[in-house]
Amino acid sequence: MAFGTLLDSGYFIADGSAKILPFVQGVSWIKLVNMTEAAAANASHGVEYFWQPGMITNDCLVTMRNAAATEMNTTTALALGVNGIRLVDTSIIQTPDLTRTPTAISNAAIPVVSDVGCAAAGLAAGDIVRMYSTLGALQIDGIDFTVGTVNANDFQLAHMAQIVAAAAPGASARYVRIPYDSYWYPKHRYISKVRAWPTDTTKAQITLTVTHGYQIGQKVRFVVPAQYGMTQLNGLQGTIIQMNVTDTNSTNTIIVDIDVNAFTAFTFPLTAAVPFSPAMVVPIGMDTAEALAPVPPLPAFPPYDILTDATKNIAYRGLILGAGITSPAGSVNDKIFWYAGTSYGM
Amino acid sequence: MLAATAGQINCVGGVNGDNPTEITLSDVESVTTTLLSNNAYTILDNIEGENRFGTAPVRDSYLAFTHTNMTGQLSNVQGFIHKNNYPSQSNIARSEWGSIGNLRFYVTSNGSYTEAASAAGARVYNTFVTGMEAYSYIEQDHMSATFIYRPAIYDGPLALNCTVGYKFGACPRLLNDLWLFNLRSTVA
Repeated sequence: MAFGTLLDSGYFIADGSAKILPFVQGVSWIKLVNMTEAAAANASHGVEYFWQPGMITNDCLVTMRNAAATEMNTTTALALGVNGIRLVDTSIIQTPDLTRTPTAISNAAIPVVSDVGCAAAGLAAGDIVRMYSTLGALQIDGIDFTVGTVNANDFQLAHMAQIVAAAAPGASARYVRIPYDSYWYPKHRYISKVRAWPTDTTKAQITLTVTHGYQIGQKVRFVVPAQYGMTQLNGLQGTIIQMNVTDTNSTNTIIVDIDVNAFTAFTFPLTAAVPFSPAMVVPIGMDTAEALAPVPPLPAFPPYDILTDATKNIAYRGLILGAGITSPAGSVNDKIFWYAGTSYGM
Repeated sequence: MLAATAGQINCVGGVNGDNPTEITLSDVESVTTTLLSNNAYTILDNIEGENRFGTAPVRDSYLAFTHTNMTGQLSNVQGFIHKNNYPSQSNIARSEWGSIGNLRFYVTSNGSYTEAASAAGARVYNTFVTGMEAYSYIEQDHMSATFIYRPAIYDGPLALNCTVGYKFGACPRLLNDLWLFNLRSTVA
């Protein structure tokens, strides 16, 4: 056949963010057709995409309508300056794939990082970023954060506590995007906030800097260095009884059965406290009783899988498809078909 | 698995200005104290002092697994005893580098590190310090390691290609997270 051995085919509905297609055994080529754009006849929108190894990372062939939407033109993602297609292997060392320079970090309730052109550079909500050498806010350096709202020239550190503003982070300041999360499940997460849960003040609400992926019934242990204040929580273990309840600003939270009312307040360290160890949640097991019979009224029946704490290697090889009107992962609600294959040559 | 799930302690006693810093004696003492406070058993017995030139007694120890790039850093830590300075040379693995306080360090080029993860964007080396029975490796029934070779005759009518592969099933697991920590450090 024309392309060698057909590996797989399928389709997805775009959600506006980058799409990952896993291919455990590797992949030699992929072709995508955006059926929504094919029917819509939008000017300057992409319709077909093709990629194979040998192309520059994050590039691909793009077939798109011209400015008058009267005919199709062929170009590349690189020429358009948009995200194309790139190989990913999450079992190897994570290497940042986007490096940018922040110009300010605000003291808003949700810290906002200023960076002219960050959205155009490909940063999107849900990405994971890591900051470096941010004078005035050194305490957030080296810690991963899930990105919240992305505007043209700034983005939110979605789940971070309020900080003292870093008006001029300095010439050495930068941030990178981490292309994929650690490949072991469950994984530890860094803590940004702890408070008594307003709904039931005998329970603690913990906010985590990166989307956590935990499940109700899992048991976790807390590591809280002295710089964070709430040292009474250090070493304690708790059961997750509820999660993703907003803490006013963030929904990346877990609720555990620990009463923190009498504890010293949890305060994210200031820049002068560096160096220090991070406060973190370590998954340690499963409370089977909680998973099988969740305490009413939350969460809703049926019970949860009692094995969701099992350690799993979730590494994969695959392709990351960039999102956008001329990128292979398309725009929100686009219906995109794809087929991919392998060959002996590549 | 350990890098993704173990609790972390950053080295903070160094002077390289990063977070974490390079490893120092105070960092070794910090993780040792944490393990002791968590009632973790040491794994290796002490090596008694003997009347030999250039040797020093070695304490009973937790094990510390790290990357070969850390060897120079370890040698510079106050109180470091290279393995050739142990009073007895029996039962010392080739991969051992030496000891500091109650830790004995084993190095491998496959040691864990996290790229661009320090406050200044440097590589962070993960040194896993473990007490007895902190984690385990659980083999799966009927899934022990298998090396599979198929000669070309199985490939097709023209017998063009041989294949070689292996497969196994295993499950790593922390048994007690209080007995194992990831001591993170950069290099000076």
